[in-house]
Amino acid sequence: MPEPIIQVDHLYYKYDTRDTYAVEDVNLTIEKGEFVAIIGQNGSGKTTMVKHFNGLHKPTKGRVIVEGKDTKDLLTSDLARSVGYVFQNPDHQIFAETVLDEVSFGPKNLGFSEEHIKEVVNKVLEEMALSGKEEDMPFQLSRGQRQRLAVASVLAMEPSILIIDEPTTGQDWRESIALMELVNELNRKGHTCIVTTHNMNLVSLYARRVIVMRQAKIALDGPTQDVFREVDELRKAAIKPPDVYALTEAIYPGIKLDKPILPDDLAELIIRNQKVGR
Amino acid sequence: MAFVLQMLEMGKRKSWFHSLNPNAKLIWWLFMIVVPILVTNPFFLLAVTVAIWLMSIGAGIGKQMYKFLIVTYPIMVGFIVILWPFFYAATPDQHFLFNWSVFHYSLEGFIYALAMGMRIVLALTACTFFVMTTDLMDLASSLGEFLQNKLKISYMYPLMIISSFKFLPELGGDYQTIVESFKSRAMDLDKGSFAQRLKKYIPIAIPLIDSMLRRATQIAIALELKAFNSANKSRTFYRHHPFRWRDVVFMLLGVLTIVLSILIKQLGWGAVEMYL
Repeated sequence: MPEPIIQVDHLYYKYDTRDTYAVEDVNLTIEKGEFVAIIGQNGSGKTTMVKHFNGLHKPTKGRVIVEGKDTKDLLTSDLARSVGYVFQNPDHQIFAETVLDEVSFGPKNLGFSEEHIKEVVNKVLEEMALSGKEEDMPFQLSRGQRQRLAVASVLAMEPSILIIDEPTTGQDWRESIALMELVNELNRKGHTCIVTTHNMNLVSLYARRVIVMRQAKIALDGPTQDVFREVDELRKAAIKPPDVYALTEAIYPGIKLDKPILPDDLAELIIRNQKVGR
Repeated sequence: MAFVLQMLEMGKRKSWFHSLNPNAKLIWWLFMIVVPILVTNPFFLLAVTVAIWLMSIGAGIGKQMYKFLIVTYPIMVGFIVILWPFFYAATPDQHFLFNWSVFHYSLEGFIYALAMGMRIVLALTACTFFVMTTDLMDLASSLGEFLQNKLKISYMYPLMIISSFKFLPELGGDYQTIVESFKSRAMDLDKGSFAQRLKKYIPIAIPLIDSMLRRATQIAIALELKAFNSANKSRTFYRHHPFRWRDVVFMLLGVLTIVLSILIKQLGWGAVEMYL
């Protein structure tokens, strides 16, 4: 039985400096354990929307319920235990002299015991391939390592929901894949993962559900393989789906896909169909 | 910080006041700074302040100005009203509320402090109006054009000053993001004593300084790559800010206020009456 972990009910949000809504009449339910990608042009409202999930923004109108609690009544620091938010630029959160201090900052704020902090810090550093770097200075790490450190310092608070804003900015393909693999692994372990990104290939590789935002509203919401075939709607949102979807549609018009398709899947499909003479 | 950002954003709006030449507004603002130096009569200062408020409503920035000044007025005036009377020269005929050794607080000192507060209120209102109706990059460009073409002063100097303001919104954006990232790691910046809260800002300062240094380096490189301050001194300007009639009228408003101030002063109404 799917269990809703985030419920967004007629959400509207307006910045003080603007006259128009940055998020307008958004309705959404995210189930526990989902891997959701939120995509859209810059300024479409995706980051504004996800900032409601950990209370950084409070709705101008409407409600956001996280794990059964209305975020309007909670501080971001209260929600941090449930919702981890990794910012786009890791340098915006790194301050400590050592990796260890950086990662243990959140758990200390949450009042974890010393033993628990030690345990959780070791665990996340190992997961993020940063073991052995405990005493290193964070600013001397590579960009990829700093990004992983940012994720580690959020994971150390053991949140059940993980939001990652543009995880692949400034990273090469190998680093991006490595990071997304880690997120995927966390998702397999039961974390609800929400990623905002412009990288459609990574969305296709990892996300099981895609939400497309356009002009402050949700334009599309559904399984990745279905959303990526809505070419006309995606074009309106200035999104180009991975070429493999267009190719699949061209070869097998109207084919029903039960999971996101990758180039290898298409190749396999062609070979399989050739064997049966289709 | 959010207030400062909002103030700077306001400068990009469209209204009659926003469309004025930035140099004309700068000159008007300088006049408005001179007025409270010339006159201390709180009623006159109040009248000028009210006039600026009416102009702010006309410029469509009244709400934002109110949001900023409703916080700033009490802080500035409160500070003056509390401290100034202690430095007001004591004479035996004053109505003392408190008098011990060299420390004294009289009703006359309090009234004088209120009048001094009114000077600050006017200067602050004029300054806020100027910032909220002027795009700082337009100001840099028009001031630079004027300095270079009329006074033969390098554009570099106004740009240096205005750039620091121009990048305030970006710096403010970084600050906002950094604060949000710390809040997301369960740091509650509003809890604890003043000293405790102050201490919580130390970690925030580190990524902010890092971001500032990176940005400063990037800007310096970008400017150099675009031949800024090169050997060719005859820099041209893409946008021109000519003086039009409306700019002259607006500056005349400033001149009129100065003339009125001098007149009031000459008539002997320029100082604070004790009304006691």
